[in-house]
Order: sequence, then C-alpha cells, then structure tokens
Amino acid sequence: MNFGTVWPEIILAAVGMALILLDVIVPKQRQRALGLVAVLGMVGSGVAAAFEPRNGALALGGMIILDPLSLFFRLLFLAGALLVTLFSVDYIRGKGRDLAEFLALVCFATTGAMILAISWNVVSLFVGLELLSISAYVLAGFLRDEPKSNEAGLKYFLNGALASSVLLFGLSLVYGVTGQTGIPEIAKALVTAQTQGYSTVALMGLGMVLVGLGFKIAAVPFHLWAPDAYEGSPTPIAGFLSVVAEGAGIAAIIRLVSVAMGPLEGSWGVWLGALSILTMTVGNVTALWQKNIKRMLAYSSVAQVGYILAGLAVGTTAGIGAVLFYLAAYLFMTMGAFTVIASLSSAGQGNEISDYAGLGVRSPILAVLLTIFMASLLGIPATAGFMGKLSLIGAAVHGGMAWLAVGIAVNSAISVAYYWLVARTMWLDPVPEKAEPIRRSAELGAALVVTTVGTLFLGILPQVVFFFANWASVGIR
Amino acid sequence: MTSTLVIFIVLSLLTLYAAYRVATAHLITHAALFLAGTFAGVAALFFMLQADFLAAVQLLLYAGAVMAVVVFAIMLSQMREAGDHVPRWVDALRSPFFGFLPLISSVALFVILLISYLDTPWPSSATAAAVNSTRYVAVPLFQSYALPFEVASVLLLAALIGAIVLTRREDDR
Amino acid sequence: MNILLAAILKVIGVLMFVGLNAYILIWGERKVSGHIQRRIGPIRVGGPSGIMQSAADILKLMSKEDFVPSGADWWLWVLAPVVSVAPAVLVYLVLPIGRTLVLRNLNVGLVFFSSVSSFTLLGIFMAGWGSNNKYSLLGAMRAGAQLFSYEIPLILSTIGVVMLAGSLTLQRIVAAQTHYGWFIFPQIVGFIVFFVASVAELNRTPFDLAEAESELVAGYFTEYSGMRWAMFAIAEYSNLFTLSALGVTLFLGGWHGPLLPGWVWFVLKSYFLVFVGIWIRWTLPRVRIDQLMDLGWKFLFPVSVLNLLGTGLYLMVR
Repeated sequence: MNFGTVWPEIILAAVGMALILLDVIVPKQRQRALGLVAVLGMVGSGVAAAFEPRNGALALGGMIILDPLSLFFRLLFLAGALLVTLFSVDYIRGKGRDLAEFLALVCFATTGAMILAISWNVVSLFVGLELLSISAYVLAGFLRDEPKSNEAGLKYFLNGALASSVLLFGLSLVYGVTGQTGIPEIAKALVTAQTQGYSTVALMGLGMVLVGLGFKIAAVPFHLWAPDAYEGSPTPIAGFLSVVAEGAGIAAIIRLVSVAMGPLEGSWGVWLGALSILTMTVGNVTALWQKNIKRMLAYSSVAQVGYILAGLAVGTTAGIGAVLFYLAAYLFMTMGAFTVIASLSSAGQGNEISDYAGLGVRSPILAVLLTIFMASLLGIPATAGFMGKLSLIGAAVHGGMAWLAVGIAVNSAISVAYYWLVARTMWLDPVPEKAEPIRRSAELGAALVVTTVGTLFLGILPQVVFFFANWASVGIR
Repeated sequence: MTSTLVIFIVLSLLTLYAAYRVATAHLITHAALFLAGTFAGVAALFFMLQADFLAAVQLLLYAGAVMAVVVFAIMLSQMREAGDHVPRWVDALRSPFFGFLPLISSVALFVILLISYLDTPWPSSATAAAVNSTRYVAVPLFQSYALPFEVASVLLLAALIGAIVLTRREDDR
Repeated sequence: MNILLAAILKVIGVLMFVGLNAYILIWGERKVSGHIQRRIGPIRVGGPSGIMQSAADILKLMSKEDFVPSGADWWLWVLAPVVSVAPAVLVYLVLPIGRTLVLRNLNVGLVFFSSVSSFTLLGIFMAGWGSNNKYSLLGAMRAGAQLFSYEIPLILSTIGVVMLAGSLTLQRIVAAQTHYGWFIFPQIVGFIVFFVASVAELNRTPFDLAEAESELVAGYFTEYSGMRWAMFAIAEYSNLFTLSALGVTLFLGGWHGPLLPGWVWFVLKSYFLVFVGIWIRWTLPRVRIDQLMDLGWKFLFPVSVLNLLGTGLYLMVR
C-alpha cells in the first residue's frame, strides 16, 4: 500500500490537524499567523500535486486515478481554498470567532473535495463528498451568534444530508445490479446489465445519483437551500460553497454520470440539457428580484451551474473542456465578487444592494473591481466569463445541441438586468451621509489582486488554461 | 414452510412494526426505543444471513453507540409535552404538507421501487456463505479500501471539531 | 427435536447458574465486606456462616407488594428490568467455560459480548425515564454517561489481546495463551485498563455515582422494589461475574491450569476476580463525577490507544 500518491491530500489534512494544535500554542494576538500556515500548507499541497504522475495510472488498489483531470481539480480546489483563506482571516477575526478551527475545517473540506475529484471508485468518491459536505455544514453555521448563519448551517445540513442519502441509495442500487464499486467496472457491467435486463433498477440508480448531486450543486429544482445558505454563511464560505463545493459536485457528475453511467442511457444528455436550461432560467429570473447582494449572487451561481451543466449535457471532449475552463473562470470571478463583499462587510457595511450606493466615490478601487467581476459573470468580452461562455456555446453548437447555445445566450441577456442594477447603484446613486472610508488588509489585497488578474488573464490570454482544460478532458474515460 | 422461513417472517414483522412505531410514537423516548428495536431486528436478520460479524457490529454501533447518543440527546434536551391532542389519522390526512402529499409521494416511491425490483432479474451472488465473515470484511477494508477508511477517520475528526465549534460554551475558553 | 431439547436444557442451565451466582455473590459480598470492616457479616439466619440469609431475602422480596409509581410510563417501567437481565443472560452464550465447554463457539465471540452488553444502557434509560422520578432520571443519565465513557477503553483494551491471538473467537483466544503464556504479562497495560473500566462499567464503588445514596437515593432503580428490584440486582451480579469471566478468558488463561478440570479453574479464577472487585468496593471511597470523566477520557482512553499502538508495533517488528 503506497500512500505516496495522495501526498497533496495528506499534506492538507495534516495542516488542518496542525492548525488545531497551533491554536492552543499560539497566543491570541498572533493568531493572524495561522492564516500564513494554512496558505503555506495549501501551496505545499499544490506543489505536491504538480509532482504526482498524470498518466492515468491507478493507485491505492484502484481507488484513485492520477490523470490530468485529477491534477486540474486538485489545483482548482486548492486555488479556491487559498483565496478563501486569504479573505477569511480578517473576516473571521472581525466576527470574534476562532480562526484556527475555521481554517482547519476549510482544509478538511478541501481535502474531501480533492479525494472526490481523484476517485476512481464510488466508495472513496462518496467518502470524499461527505468529508467535504460535513465540514461545509459546520462552516456555513460557523457564526453561531448570528441567527442567519444558524439558519444557513441548518438548511444546508438538512438538504445536504437528504441529498447524500438519495445519492447513496442510488449508488447502492447500481451496486446491486453491477456488484462493482470501481467506476470503469461499473461502466463495463452496466453494458452487460443492459443486455440482461437489469437496466430498470440501474436507471433508477442513475436518476437518484443525479438528484443527489443536483442537490449538491444546487441545480433547479433542488436549489432552494442555496440562497439561504449563501446569505447566512460567512461571506468567505459563500465563496467556498459556490466554487469548491459546487466544483466538487461537477467533478462527481463527470466521474459518476459521464464515465460510470454514460453507457447506460444514450439520451441522458438531453435530460441533462433540459435540467441545464431550467436551472439557468430559474436562477437568472429569480435573481432579478433580489435585494440582498449575497442572495443575488446565490441565484447567479445557480444560473452559472446551469451554464456548466450545458457543457456536461453536450458530453463531448470539447464540452467537458469548456466546463473545466468555465470552472476556472468562475473560480476567479465569483471569489473576486465575494472578496469585495467581504471587505465591505468587514468595514461594517451591510449586504443589501442599496448599501452599495455611491461606492464608486467612497472606494473607487473596490467599485471598479466589483464591476469587473460582475462584467465577467455577465460575460462581457475581455473577461474570463466571456471566454467561458464562448467555449460552452461553441461546444454546444459543434456537439449538435444548438438549442443549448440559444438558452445560454438568452439567459445572459436576462442576467444583464441584475448585474446592471448593482453597477448602477455603485456608480450613479448618491453617496449616503456618514459613509466611512474603507480600509483593506494585506490578505484581502492579495486575494483581490489574484482574483482580478485571474479574471482578466483568462479573458485576454485564455490559451494556457484552455490547453490545460482540453488536455484534462481528453482522457476522462 | 421451513423453520428458518418462520423465524425470518417473525423477525421481519417485528422489525417493520418497530420501524413503523419510530415514526408514529407520540413520545420521542418511545420512538428512540423502537429505533433500538429496529436496529436489533436488522442485526438479527444479518445473523440469519450468517453475516455474524456484521450483525455484532450492527448491534454494537447502532443499538449501542448510536442509541447512546440518541438517548443522551433526549435526556439533555428540554422536553415539552406535545399536547394531548393527537389528531386521528383521517383528519391528519387533510393537511397537505403533513398529510396526503407525503403519503402519496412515499407510496409512489414504494410502488416504483417495488415494480422495478420485481422487474429486475438480480444477478445472484457468486460467493457462498462466508466461513469466517470477519476476514471477508477486514481484508477489503484494510487493503483495497484503505483510502476511504482513512478518509473516514478524517471525516470523523472534522465532525468532532465541528460539533465542538458549534456547541462549545464561550465561557469555557 | 434433540437440538431443541439441548437448547432448552442449556437455557435452563444458564438461568439456574445466573440465579445461583447472584445468591452466592450477595452472600459473599456481605461476608467479605463484613470482614473488611472488622465485622463478621450475616450469621443468624441459618446454615453455616449465615448462608441462608439470601434465601430469607428472596422470600422477603417475593412477598413484597408489587406497585407501579403514579405517572410512570407503564411499558418502559415494566420492561426495564427485563431489558437489563436479558443481556446479562445472553453473554453466557459465548463464555468458554472449558476446553470444549462453550454454549456457542461464535467466531465473533468478543464483539458479540460487547455488543450485547451495550444493551444494558437501554435498560437503564428505560428505568430512569419510566419511573417518572428525578432521582431516577439523574441516576440513569449518570449511569449512561459512565457506561458510554468506559465502554470505549474497555473494548480498546481487549483489542490488544485480539491482535496477539489473531482471533475474535474467545475459545481461540484461550487456546492462544498456551503459546504466549497468559496475556496478562504481555498485555499488563491492557489488563489494568480492562479491570478499571470493567469496575466502572459495573457501576460499583469507587465508580458508583449512578446510585450514590447520598445524592440520588438509589439512582435509576429508586422506584423499584420487590422482584422487579431483584431482577436489577440479579443482572448486576451476573454482569459482575461475566465481566470477570471475560477478564479471565482474555488475560488470565481462561480454563488453563494444572490438575483440576478446566471448568473448575475457569470458575475459580473468575470468582477470584470477583473477589478483587468486592475488595476494591469496600476499600476505596467514591470518586467525584469530574474525576470519573477525567479518568476515563484523559487517562484510560489514551493509555489504551497507546497500548494498541505498542502491540501493533510489536507485531510488525516480530
């Protein structure tokens, strides 16, 4: 048994445990340094991930696969966790909560997400998903003095637990039919099962897996927990949920649905496409009515999941590549938007959209950055979001599902309205009385620089990441 | 009808009845005890399948450890009487979200599952009854499934930390 | 039919032993405690050394009025003694009394033992809750916390033995002790943890907080009297014997011993451990609840984990 193939996960989990110990040793005033420890751990984990083989080798008794996709998701989740760490140091300390436990849970959750993404067996996949989810439930309810945060934690927990059990039920049905837990073995066994007439139960299993994962990624109609969870969670965790937790759900869909159960039903792409259109439309239309910026971003992220599902529905290599590219773009723009929100709420500002009145005068830099992120979420050229949508639309057209491309275009048009509302409030509404200037800490500054550069870089020079994403999507089966 | 079948039917009926009463008992204490009965019944069924290690662990972990947690949760929480008014089930059915909608959806799920189970010619298990069932559980658990096993221990640690974070009294620090 | 007959005979045998054991132990406890306190204990009722005292007690208990406290949860209240006795009787199923003398040589004997004894908590909870009495409930809560806290080191301390013997079958564990010698020598840490934890599991002094008379009257069985109370007492003494017998099986060589037949050695060694338990009970004062929890979680638990680690390392380098 050679655990050397999971060094990135081992390092990250060990850093999580070390943080708990350091919490006792490091005096209260110096706990800021714990953020540095976590960041170093994540960077170390990323370096370890870069050195792992990526030739599609199986390891640990076939539990995990080391292919480019594993590398992509490992780096994606680590980048997300890194940004969350950077902008949660001030936020959590400002709320008077314990930083070490928060960062430790972020490390554990990210470990879970990484285990999930590299799994080549449904058992380790499910365990990874549960590690991610259980840590995330706690993180959502972390501000336990705030009723909203309690509500967020509880709703996320109840929905997530239901989703996990549905997913597990589905997996057990698939196991019952195939007798296998390995993903390629399931794919193979399902082909024979189809000829022998076991496919009714297998189809139900597939349906339940999809429903369970649909809950996890907040696809419509399983999205109802998302706005409450995003609104009440600590802002960094709202970013974490939308990037890492949903990214992990997408990874699970790629591994489980596209690879393991792909051969079962030729037409599931159409069903996934319908789910995609439904998700983006409901997300965008509901976002129009939101008054709270975190709720708005929650519905916006539901819509983004819809776009991502479109790429999965196409299912071609180009489609998966577009999904991966979009996830990378989404990481930077969503994290960036949440970072701006977190800096503002650390400075004592509320989360209602009306609180953003006159931000362009009070803090021009933050206002410009938030505008860039909104533009990217909307899909304005020269931003990451534009390239992401372009590649999704391209994949949909080439994959013979042009109706999906139309859906994405129409939905982008709808989403102009609510992103514009924020921009207009920031730039055109008058400055309220007794508005305070906003200061930023070094960590927040770093997070803002990284997200802005990432958003613009992916928009202007997307080739590198495009190449990576396409490389990762080639060998998934 | 063999004696094994008779025992199986009796055990299943007891287990099902206990499971039914978990959902319908008016006192949460009774529900908890019926839950213990359900666990024990499932363990007995495992015994009948000659999965004796699984049965013993089911008893130890569910009827023992999980029930201890449930019992403590009950004893530590403030109890309030639910009131003497217990609606008759005919009346309860009128309420949409607590009555007929859940009933319809669960019956529908049951019927769908039943139909598809009956429709499927299940592949028969190749392995004969294990002589040493402990070995059959242990070898995969610690060899091919070692990674999920270790991840599960991180998961338990995360859950432990999470429980403390969410419930610790501030003045304890 | 023969199987059925044998089964019935076995059940009757176990039940008779459980009753006889409680009879002897109650008398023995009185005599030992008397001598420890420089008294002579019961002598008057009859027979040598007052051996008929327990018989008189049984008559008294049987003739008591059977009543149910008002406001009691009838089903729970009535079932609680039964649920307490059942696991105490069931564990005899796997005890290896002699070389070939075991009721059922289950291949997961040790796990069966622990899992069946974990049901005791339910009986305690039912009694505490069903009595509708605050002392009962508090006693049940303490007993539950104690059972739960000490079950973990108890089980962990037995795993060291399992690792050495390479089996969960109690009969095989005893057989393995011909190669290794008694496991108390390589597993002395495990034995100490096991013994302390089993005294705590049995709710006996110095860990008898669940029925601390000065605070809680009689803990979870405050409201019980007559034969219902007697069932709790029988279960308690039966558990005292079976846990001691488990200790003998795991650490003291089970039925191994010179000259005498195996089952005699087994019973003698078990009663020796029981005697040590009684001796401790009448020697040490009661601990406080926080000391109890500290001992369990901060000492026994880490020590038993370290013991496991050491055993594992030994098996690796061997």
